[in-house]
Amino acid sequence: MSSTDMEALFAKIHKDQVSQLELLRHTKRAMDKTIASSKDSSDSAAASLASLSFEILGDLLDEIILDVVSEAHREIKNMRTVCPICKTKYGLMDDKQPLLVVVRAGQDIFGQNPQPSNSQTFDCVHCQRSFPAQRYAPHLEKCLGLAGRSSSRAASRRMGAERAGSGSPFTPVSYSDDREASDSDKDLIEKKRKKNASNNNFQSNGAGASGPNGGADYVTPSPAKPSSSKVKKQKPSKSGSSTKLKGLGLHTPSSTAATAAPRDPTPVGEISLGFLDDSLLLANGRSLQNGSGGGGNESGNGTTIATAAATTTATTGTTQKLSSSNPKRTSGGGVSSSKRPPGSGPSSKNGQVLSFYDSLRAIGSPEGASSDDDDSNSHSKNSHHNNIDNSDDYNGVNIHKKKKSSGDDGRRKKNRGKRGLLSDVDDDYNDEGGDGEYIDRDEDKGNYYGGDDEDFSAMEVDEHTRYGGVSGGGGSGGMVGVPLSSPSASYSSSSKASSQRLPPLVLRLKKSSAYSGASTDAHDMEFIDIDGDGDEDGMDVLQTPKKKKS
Amino acid sequence: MSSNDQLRSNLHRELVASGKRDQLVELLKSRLIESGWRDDLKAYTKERINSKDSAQSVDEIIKDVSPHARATVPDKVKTELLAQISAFVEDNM
Repeated sequence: MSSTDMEALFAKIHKDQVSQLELLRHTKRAMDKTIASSKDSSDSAAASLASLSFEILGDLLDEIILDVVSEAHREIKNMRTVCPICKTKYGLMDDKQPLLVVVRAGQDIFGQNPQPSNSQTFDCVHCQRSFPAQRYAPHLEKCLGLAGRSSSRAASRRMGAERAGSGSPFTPVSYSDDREASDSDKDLIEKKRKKNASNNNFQSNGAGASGPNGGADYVTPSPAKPSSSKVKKQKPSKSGSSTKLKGLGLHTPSSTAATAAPRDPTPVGEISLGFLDDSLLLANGRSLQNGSGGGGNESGNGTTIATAAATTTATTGTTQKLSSSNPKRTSGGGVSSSKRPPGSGPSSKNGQVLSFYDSLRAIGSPEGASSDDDDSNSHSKNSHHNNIDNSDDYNGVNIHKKKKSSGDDGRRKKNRGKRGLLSDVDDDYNDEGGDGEYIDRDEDKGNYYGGDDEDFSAMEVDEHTRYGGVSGGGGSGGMVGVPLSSPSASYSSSSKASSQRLPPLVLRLKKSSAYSGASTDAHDMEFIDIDGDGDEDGMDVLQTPKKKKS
Repeated sequence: MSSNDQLRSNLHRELVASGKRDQLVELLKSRLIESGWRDDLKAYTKERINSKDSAQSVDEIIKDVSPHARATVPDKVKTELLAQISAFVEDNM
């Protein structure tokens, strides 16, 4: 090659590059100018749509980034501090597990699922709703109207509704768990049922009141205050008592009790309560219990139902008794022992539920011979006693303040005749017969149904509620479960035959037979306040009756 | 300039008042979580915090982490959000 060619080549290349360089410089200059000009107009010029959007997106992102960073920061900070419990830092534990607090939805801080371990549910026997174990009992209370006033009102309403559809007053729902239910009870219930059919229509307060009470008693043996005292109302057979009964609500056409009974599981109580006025029924559904216990006992007792509105201890129990007792009652003195179901308690002389007092009476008193006397006496006393008793706290326990029911059936009978149903109540309360009818629940010896002592014992409280059909028979004078809650109220009302309140139901089932040995007189056992506690109760029972007598 | 700033503030007020901003935030959050961006960012921040011996405040950490966070936003999410925002801006211009 020639050098000249090479030189020419190099020159050419040099030229190209220089021109390129020139071009680039020119471009740069132009661009600088553009930039300068654009800067001037940047403020005034509206930000482009894109830039605005981008700015907004940047804001949103900043918010999210803040969340993430703060979370991470918090976690690390927690891990780094010394655990106040184990005094170790993260990572220093043996197991090297991160001591993290789980903050996930649906899990607790340990990462476990918070499922309740005890999730067993039960279905209410009354309303067939399902409840967890912890809520079953309170619900049942309310459902059956045993819990309080509003509950019983609500339950009463429901009862009324239920009753409408069913004609049978006795509708046992489930007695499986009712320890009170026993054969005797069932008998009693049957009896009641029949009685209710006949008597029925007692309009208990709030119609539902009796229902729930009755049922309640049946199902729940005693706890709480007696359910509306289902005062057992004697059948209006007794003329004298008719007035009283009226007050009681016996004559009310739709004895809620009766109606309620069918629906409720505790029909027993229902039946008799029919006539109890609402107040009585409201008393805690003790009646149920009575009913169960009274089943056997009921047989003969024309238990008077003293329904203390508040303390319907006797409620179901008594009601049952009443139904059964009614017949007995009418028989008057004749202690209807015969009526009593065979299985009735031990002392049911007259087939009535023998109350504690009755048993005492039995020792020395004649079979219900002077029942009448007692009644009359007790009457006056009743009010008095009632008051005393009222103060009783027997919520269901005392119920049976029976007054005199002193086991003498004979006595009882007499009284009954005189005063009618209500009179019994009073008597019972006063325990004129001195037979120690005034029984606290603890003592029930099966008084209520005169005969099923065992039953009673089980249901202490219930028994009170039962009104051992104290039918004049056997001095037991039906136990009247006098609801404690408002004994005074009930008593006073009973004495006045006030319509609103049923006299406390005194369950005194005294069996004449049982007491044959006891004080024979009708009021053998006068209920005297011996121990000075102001009321006639167990301590006072043992006193021999002094007076009384009509 | 002031007009530009005014424009921006008006737009922002409009965005909040109409509730559109909250909507957009929720949408962005869900998209980022779906894509895994959030977990990645969290791990990254923890690393950054642990790597630094001195205790840092949250603001410092944010400053430290933001560029990376913005850069790692998936393009799909970005375009989706930008489309919605620009539509809103146009409607309100």
